[in-house]
Amino acid sequence: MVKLIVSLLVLAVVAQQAYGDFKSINNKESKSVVKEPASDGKKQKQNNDQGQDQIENDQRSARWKGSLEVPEIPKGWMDLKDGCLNGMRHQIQEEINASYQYLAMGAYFARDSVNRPGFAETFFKSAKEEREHGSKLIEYLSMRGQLTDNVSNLINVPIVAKQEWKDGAAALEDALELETKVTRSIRKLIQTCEGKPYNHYHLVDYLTGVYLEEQLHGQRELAGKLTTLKKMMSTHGELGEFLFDKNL
Amino acid sequence: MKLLVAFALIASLGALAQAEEEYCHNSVVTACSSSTFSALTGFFTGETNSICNARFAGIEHVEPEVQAYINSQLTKSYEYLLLATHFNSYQKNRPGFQKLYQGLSDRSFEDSIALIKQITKRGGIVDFNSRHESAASVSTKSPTLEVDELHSLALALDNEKQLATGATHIHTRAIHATERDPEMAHYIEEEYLGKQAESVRKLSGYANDLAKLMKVPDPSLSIYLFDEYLQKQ
Repeated sequence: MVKLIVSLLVLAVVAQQAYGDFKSINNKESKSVVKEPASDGKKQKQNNDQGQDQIENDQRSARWKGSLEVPEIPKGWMDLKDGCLNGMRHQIQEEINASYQYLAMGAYFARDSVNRPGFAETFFKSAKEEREHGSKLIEYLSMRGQLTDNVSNLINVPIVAKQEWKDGAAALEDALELETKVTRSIRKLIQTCEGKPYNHYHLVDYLTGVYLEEQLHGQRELAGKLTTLKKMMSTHGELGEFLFDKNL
Repeated sequence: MKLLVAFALIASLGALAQAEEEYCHNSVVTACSSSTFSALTGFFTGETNSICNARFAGIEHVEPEVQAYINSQLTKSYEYLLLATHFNSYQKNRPGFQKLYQGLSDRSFEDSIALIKQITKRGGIVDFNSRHESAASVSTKSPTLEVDELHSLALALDNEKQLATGATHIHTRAIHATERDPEMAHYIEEEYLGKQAESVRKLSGYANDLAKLMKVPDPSLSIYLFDEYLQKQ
């Protein structure tokens, strides 16, 4: 009987200690989680925003104002502007939007309850490609002397319109529509950039030779896949999609 | 005798099927065949109803954190891309800095896809539009990226620390929530924490070096040489 009481007591003490430990962990966690700027002075600062602050201090001590001055150079070579420039900026956002949409498709087909790894990989690959397209257009603008300012708002995180699909065919259909939309947008951009008063031969050639080339081949590939899948699904349904996915 | 054993086996199987773990086994045909539909409705109610799912351990607790972290990585990936762009302009013309930030951008994008694969491996879903109030998520307010070389290093250092804090938060949730998730904790340790410690350390080294080099009346040559050094990294 005494043994029992003693062991109960020991248990209670241990339990309390464990609870205390847990609480202290929780406290610690919430402290590091809550990021009140300048809440408890030094420690917070050292941990989080110290980089910028310290540099500001260093600068003050060195009496150095900030960026190096931009020297004056001839501006005549920077002739990409107005409509064509805005069109390019718009096209960059379009490519990023497409990349996000493909990511959502990949994430959907990677789900346990959907389980179409072939589709998922295809869409992840497309997402990477679209991001690459956006990135290359940005590099082109830098090459033409643009993007010296207003860089921060060049890309906005888009809202993804759709994150669920009925089946693989529905997603391929959406992908084809998406590519068609991007192609149309590039064609419009080409029209803007070859218009008067200034024909940007080089950019138009680049957009036609590289971007349209890829768009058209991509569309044909998607159309082919979609047709094959639809043929099989009309008679073999789920089995058709299952086999198609494994061969993607 | 054999018959009796078989009977006992069947009976015990039936009893086991009552337990939730065996639910899939019990009703596999009716439940799994409608899994796409239930996943669809689950999306709107915020949870997956499919019985034949891949969810186990503490996935309920870590799923929202990982979702938030995916969106953070993507946001940071584009922020780094723009930072790289800033240093690629003819006025800045710092290929070393561009290379550094382009590398970080590509890494964050690759990591986003890896995280999507991880969360779906565990039966979770991704929501690209959610903006969680989670410590694993970073501010969606994009900072001004038109900064000078030294400030950009400080910005990147803060970014990397935020990403490391986010990963640490997922890890903390995975090992301290009521249902633990050692698999997720291990994944975060293996794929993120070590790598992030390295990139934080690297950027802090860069920032300290450049800050020292710039304690001269005209730091233009210091920055030029430092950029050249960065190109070779």
